[in-house]
Amino acid sequence: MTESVLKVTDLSVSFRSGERTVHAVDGISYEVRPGEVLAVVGESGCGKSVTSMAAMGLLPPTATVTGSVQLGGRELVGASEKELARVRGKDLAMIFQEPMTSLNPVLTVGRQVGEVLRRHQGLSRRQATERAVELLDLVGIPAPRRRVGEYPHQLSGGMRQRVMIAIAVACDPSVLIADEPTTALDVTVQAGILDVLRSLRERLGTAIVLITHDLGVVADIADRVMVMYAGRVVEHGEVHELYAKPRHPYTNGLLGAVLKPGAEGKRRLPEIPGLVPSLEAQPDACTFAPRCPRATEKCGTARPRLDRAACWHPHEVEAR
Amino acid sequence: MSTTVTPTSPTRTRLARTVGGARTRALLANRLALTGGAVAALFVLAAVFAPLISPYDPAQADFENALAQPGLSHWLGTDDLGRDQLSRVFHGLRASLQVGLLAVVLAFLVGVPLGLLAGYYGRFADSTVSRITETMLAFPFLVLAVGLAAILGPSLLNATIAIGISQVPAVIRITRAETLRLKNVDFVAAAIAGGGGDGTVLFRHILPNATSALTVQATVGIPTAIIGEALLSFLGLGVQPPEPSLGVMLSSAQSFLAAAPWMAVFPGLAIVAATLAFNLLGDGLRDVLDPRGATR
Amino acid sequence: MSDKATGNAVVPAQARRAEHERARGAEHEPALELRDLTRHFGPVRAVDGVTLSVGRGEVVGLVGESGSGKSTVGRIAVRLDEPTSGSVHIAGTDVTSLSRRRLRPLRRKFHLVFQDPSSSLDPRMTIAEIIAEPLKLHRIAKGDEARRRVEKLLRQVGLRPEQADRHPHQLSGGQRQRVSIARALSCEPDLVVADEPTSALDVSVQASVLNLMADLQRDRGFGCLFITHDLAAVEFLADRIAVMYLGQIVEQAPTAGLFADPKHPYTQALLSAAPVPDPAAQRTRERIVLSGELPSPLHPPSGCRFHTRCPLAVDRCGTEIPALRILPDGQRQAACHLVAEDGTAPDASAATVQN
Repeated sequence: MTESVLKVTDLSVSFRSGERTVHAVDGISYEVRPGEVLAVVGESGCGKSVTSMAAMGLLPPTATVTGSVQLGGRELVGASEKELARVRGKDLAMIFQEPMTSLNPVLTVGRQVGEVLRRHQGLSRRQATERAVELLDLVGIPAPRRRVGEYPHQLSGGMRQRVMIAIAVACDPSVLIADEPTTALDVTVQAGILDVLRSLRERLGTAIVLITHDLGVVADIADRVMVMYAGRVVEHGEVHELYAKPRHPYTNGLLGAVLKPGAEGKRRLPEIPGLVPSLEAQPDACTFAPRCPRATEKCGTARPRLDRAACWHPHEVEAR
Repeated sequence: MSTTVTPTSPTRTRLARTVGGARTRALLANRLALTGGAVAALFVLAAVFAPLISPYDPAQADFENALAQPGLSHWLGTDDLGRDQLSRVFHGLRASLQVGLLAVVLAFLVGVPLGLLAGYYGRFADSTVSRITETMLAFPFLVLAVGLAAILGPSLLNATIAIGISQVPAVIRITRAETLRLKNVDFVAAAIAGGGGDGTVLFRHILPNATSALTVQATVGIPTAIIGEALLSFLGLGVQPPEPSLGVMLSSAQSFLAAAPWMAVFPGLAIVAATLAFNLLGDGLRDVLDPRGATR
Repeated sequence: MSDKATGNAVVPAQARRAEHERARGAEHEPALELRDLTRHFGPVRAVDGVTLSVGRGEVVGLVGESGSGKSTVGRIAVRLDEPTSGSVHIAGTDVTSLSRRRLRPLRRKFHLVFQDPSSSLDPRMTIAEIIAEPLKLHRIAKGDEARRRVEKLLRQVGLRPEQADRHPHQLSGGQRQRVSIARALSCEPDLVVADEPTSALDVSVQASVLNLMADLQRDRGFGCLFITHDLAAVEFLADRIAVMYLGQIVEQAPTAGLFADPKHPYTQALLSAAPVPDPAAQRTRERIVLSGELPSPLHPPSGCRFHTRCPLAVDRCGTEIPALRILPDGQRQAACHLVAEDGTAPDASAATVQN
């Protein structure tokens, strides 16, 4: 088994505002190996984005981060801004949901791709432009030589996201964090972006952490899946295994509730009753218990350890 | 917070009860705004209770004690006619705040409907109102106020009208901007789809949601009006002597700057402090009330 | 169709027809009928010749990607926008160019549900005030009666009556969308237009809102135009689906038929692109990859608007505009030269297979 490139151990993130403390992420651990796609799945507010922002050191000063994030053996939690700046964009890169707001509207695409190269690899302007053309070609942008001279507003949403990916992989990072990279895009465009990510993983061996709420996207591209609920990991596993035999009732509920195009008769969709709990408490209990059909008294009094699923009464066999 | 001049709907008061708690807390956290609010409140109290707390009659001349230095019997000294400066500052504040408040009320009564009209109906209404606003904004506020007061003739009422009208463009501008923003929010479309006419949309949805911005505008409008009043009175276009006003006091202090500097210093300080206090309060309110600010 | 709501002064033949129609009752008029609708914003042709009807108690899905003009169609259907040309009939009444004032009393017959429940509910109002607003505006109920109705509606959409005095920000996204649905149904409309009502919601919440809409629609029988980009959601809810591309409808079919046998190459591409939440199935599917980008609605392509991206396009597609033809089964329509006379569809996946 190859060495993992990114190793997160017992990471917790809390935000203080006034007297309230919100525990956005509560003791999560995971690793990613080169060329692997790990999907971090969960609904809004589950802490999936905060996890990666913490790894990138991009959280506001109101956040308290504990635990460890190791990138190729280097510790990132508590690293100085200077050290982080060296890592960001070079070894660890990130793409976001909204490509328009992440690109500078007054600079050409080529300039923006080239800037990263000049900063991290010390290329000349001409070399950087040449490399930018190659990168745009790599992410599947047609006529890259013409496109380097264009501005973001001249590109479609899908093309902008490709540019973002080109910038992200410019320095051949070992890990790419993609936070809802296709959520703002149409399905026909989404398919293309997922193809780009797939080819990066194959051609460059980039490890990808894909943060998404879309179980269809996960099914399409992920090798392993980590399901988060209310700041904790409730289940993780190999993608086929997890989809076929979800152990945690939440995963099971989520997979039941998701719509399957081409397979929806007039059935009744399974629902998950109740609401996501407040993140202010860190109960020594299963946080899903109040909404769980399998919950017993034990679930309310002791926090389950994460084995494959963090659950006292996991589904043992195919239960859907 | 109670300076809202717009019609208060029952929703508004109920809202104040529910989210008001969080907002009050946020305002309390803002020390500068809190200080501003406290000082402003003190000034308002002093103005309201001026007749009760003044040690002397502000119009009572006492030539024996003319130009007395600040001391135990006259804390802020006396003027050239021997009138007690402290009492005159209290009464002057009364005139200033009265003009300030009335002028702002006037500006809102004229500006809010015009702003709503321009923002909501657009086209002809908007271009007409905007042209007038732009023309008025081409003149600095004080120049405009002085010009209008000169045309209307010197009196306290005319000064109030002049200052009020000079503030109308600012009120129109903020109301129009809020209306433009709000009319494209889905809940307005929902109200129209629910059978709401222009009245429902404007007075039940747009105006209540614009109150935050308008409250801030009112709070910053008051100090501007206070300065306006002082200037007009200083020029003899506002409060007429012997009635006390901060501007009148400054005006008469001119001839005695060397002999009795306190005659100018204390009314001047009062103007500066009141202006600063209301501005700080306004800035604080802006932070707290702005829905785009990080409350919630 | 010039006979407006009253339709008194008409020639005898038309009068007889009108009489006949009245006898049959407005019950038989479709809930919504759009004919040859266009909407141009300056030079942008957002909607360009859309004809679509929603029967009483029928759910019609309007599917398209961004820039297809589907939301504009929705806004025109509830007359929040006026078409450049074409007509809008709601429950038999021509509302195409009625003034806002004339429209107001008619609005109790139709309402809409927005995509984003956080902006479609007035933050300064209570839930009760929001839901009761249409009741009051149409003078259907006020005071205690309105309150009683609000509580009944809240229960019907799965909320508790005591939540009536809350404000929108005190509810979750899903709960807010339920309030929006309750408001839309408060006057018992014939037509509800739902514009991406579940797109802003989480998976588990989305499921419960879709269930709710299906239940309410079955119980109350309103016609529904369900606008979305989410194919699985329309498949769940709609009886019939219309697919839009660049301002025009390219295919229309009963739901099951569309999914089983999509005729238009664009529909085929759309269906093949939507990922299935099943890794084994998803990774063995054949996918149709569309080349190029969505053309600008400023200068729509000549001929078939899809020809610039269609993997099957032939010369004719670039020159001749394909009509939206009724296919032999009588229930389906497609606008494609390559769909044969007998309704046999071309196979776009054969042209560009990738998995």
